[in-house]
Amino acid sequence: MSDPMERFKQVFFDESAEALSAIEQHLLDIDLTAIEPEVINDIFRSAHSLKGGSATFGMSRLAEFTHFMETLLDMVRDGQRDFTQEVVDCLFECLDCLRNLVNHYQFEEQVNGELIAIVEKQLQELIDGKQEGKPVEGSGDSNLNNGLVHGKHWEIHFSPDEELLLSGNEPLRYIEELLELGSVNVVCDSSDVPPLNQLNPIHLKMKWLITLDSEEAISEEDLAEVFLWIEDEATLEYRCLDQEAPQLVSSALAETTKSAPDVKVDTVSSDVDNAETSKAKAPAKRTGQSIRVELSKIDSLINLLGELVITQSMLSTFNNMVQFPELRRLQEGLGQLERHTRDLQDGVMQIRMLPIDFCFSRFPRMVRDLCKQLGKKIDVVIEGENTEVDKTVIEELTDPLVHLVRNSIDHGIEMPDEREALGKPRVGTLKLVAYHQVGNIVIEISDDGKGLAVDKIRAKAVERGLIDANAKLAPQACKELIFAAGFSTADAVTDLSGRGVGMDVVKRNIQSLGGQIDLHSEENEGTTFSIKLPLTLSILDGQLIKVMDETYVVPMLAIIESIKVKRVDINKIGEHDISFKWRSQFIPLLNLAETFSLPETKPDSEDSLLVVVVEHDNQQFGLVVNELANHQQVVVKSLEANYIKVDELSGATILGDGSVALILDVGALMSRLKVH
Amino acid sequence: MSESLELEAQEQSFSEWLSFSLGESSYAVDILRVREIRTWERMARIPNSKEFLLGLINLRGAIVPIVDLRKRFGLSARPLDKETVVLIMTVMTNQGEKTMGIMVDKICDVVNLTDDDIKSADKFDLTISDRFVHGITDVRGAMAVLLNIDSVLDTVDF
Repeated sequence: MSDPMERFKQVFFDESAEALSAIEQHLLDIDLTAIEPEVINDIFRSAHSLKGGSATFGMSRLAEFTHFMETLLDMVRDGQRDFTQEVVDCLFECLDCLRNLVNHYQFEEQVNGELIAIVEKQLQELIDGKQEGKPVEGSGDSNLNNGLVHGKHWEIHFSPDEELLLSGNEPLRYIEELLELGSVNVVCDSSDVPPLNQLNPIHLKMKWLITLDSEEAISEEDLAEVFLWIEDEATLEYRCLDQEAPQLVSSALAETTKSAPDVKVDTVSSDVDNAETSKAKAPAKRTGQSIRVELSKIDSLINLLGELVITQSMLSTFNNMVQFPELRRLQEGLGQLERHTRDLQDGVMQIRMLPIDFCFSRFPRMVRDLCKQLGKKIDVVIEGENTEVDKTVIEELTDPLVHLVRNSIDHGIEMPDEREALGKPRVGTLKLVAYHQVGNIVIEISDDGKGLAVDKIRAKAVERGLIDANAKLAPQACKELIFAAGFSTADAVTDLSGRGVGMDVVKRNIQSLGGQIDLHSEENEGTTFSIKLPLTLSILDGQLIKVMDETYVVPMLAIIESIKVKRVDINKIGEHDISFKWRSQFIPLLNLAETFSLPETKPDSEDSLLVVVVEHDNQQFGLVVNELANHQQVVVKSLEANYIKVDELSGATILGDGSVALILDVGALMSRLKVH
Repeated sequence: MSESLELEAQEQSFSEWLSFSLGESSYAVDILRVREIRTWERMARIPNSKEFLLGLINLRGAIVPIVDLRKRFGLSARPLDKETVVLIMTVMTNQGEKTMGIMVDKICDVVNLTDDDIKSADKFDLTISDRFVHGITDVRGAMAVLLNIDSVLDTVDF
């Protein structure tokens, strides 16, 4: 990374990823019946900057391909081609190629030459097809389409923008560079230069007409290369004098360059007004400025903040008035410090938060592709895409969500005809909703498809040996069998889903993030999955409990309630407390002191036990504890950093008094129920 | 004359070792691995862990496990006193650098050793696993066991 070139490359890769997703977003949003020119311009700009960057870094394949794509885009922009569905489809495929090429240069991914060849052919057809589509003033000179205008004699009109000097560019340097290609005759047009008293020295008002005579044939590309850096800041026209005659025959002169391969050069001239207006619009569209920061920097900030929180709570334990006469003033200060710490904490956590859109934004495209493949028609509705959640949560969440969405499309929503027969609209709806709910984020994925068929699931589960044929299961419990490992109802294993490794993995992933997944489904009405996750993985809302003298933290998300249970109400087998009746059903009990092999110091003198009812995987069990202490936010620290993973613990934290408390992993504790 | 001696000394490659005692026996660890020396403090017991793991402490925000070296070496337990200390060590593991502590009876000395001072421990029964031992040396006339801390605190055994 120390190599500056590498650093610039990295920036380019980051930017190209942004450019690609910007194009994709526009393509998805596009309404073919009412196309806004600004949208096309935006797409064009993104492609253009990609091309400029890739050419600078010598990524020739990427530059060539983008150039090709740009040609088509320019035709659309100039109205030589209608923006049809085919164009949109083709552009989508172009995006895939571009991603492939960017990955090729960034990660040395294999270039998918086959795909690129196909897409290039499509592009070519679309470009060639323009004459059939719309009569154009410019001609489709065969030379122009294959991108090879060669000639020894060129005439170049070079009219820089008057601001050119402000960007540190020296026009002379470009003219000098032309000298390397051949002998040059330059005529300067200074007619626009105002009289001396009105002259503004920083405004460049001169134009040049350059005639270039070269020994060898040079292409327009070679010339464009010379002016690459200032192509956006100058109007450039290249005319090959060798070919003047045939071109004059075929069409009006001025329009010729328009269909020439290096379209963007001309673009600048024909669109000067347009470019200016879009420049004015750009800042308004930008929602806020941003910088790229390495995640590790933010992480270390968060760690430091964790320390601050700990020190802060440590200070607040001083409360001995006799020992510290000035305590009141100290406490006032501490109160303020606490408020500021909390604000700071919120602020820093906010930095790591990203809108869930980062995850959702891929779905419209994915659904579109799958629909095409399956012949289904589905609208994607996204709500709450600005809901923010921790970056790490987003990363971990993406795979499970992809799986759920695929399932909904593949198994959930029916074919259009089928839907019509059922009296549903032909176009199905897939809804992705995100919202906050007391310190958690809830994500719902719902479809209006066929829903889960209880009988079918039951039959399948019996067949797979997941349940006994005579087992009594409530409909809801039956539906939840889809989360069991090795369950799949798809009659044929499709490319999309149906490998039967799906839903249980989804569930495990969600649980490993400290979240839970619920399912609601009505036959023929649709299915809704709702995922509840903590907003961040580094701070946890915890309930401190005491067992004997040791303090542990139970995640609040897992706790249902804490109750006192009379000793007589507890069912024992031998010496062990096994279960008790809670909300009219028996739930197992886990004695933490026993599980953690604590020396039983207190005799069972009390006639009731304190039980914290916790839930994991929709199953409840009770933890027998001695005491409930504070409910507080704790900073989660990994045990593995300096130690090893401990089964029943999900981490550790540091309390206000500086001591270490261990955080319980409720799921792992549940699996201990049977091991005694 | 003195210059040539110094030169020779440099070629001989010195290493510094921190010696400490467990009961009657003395041991030493590479001083470059010792991050700090702390007095005993309250630790959070780790449920169902190996007997020699005393618990976890908060070392300026990091969670650090502490090993009772007596128990690790199969020696009898001894009540804490004011000389009991915890050495915070840097340990190299497969998963990278970790920070762990060892509790010892008391620290003694810093000794400078040349490679020649470090003798093989092959023929002695030191009651601890061979992989824990780097060698033996003479500290004021008594034998001290030089420890290979990466093996002593190898998480595979935890």
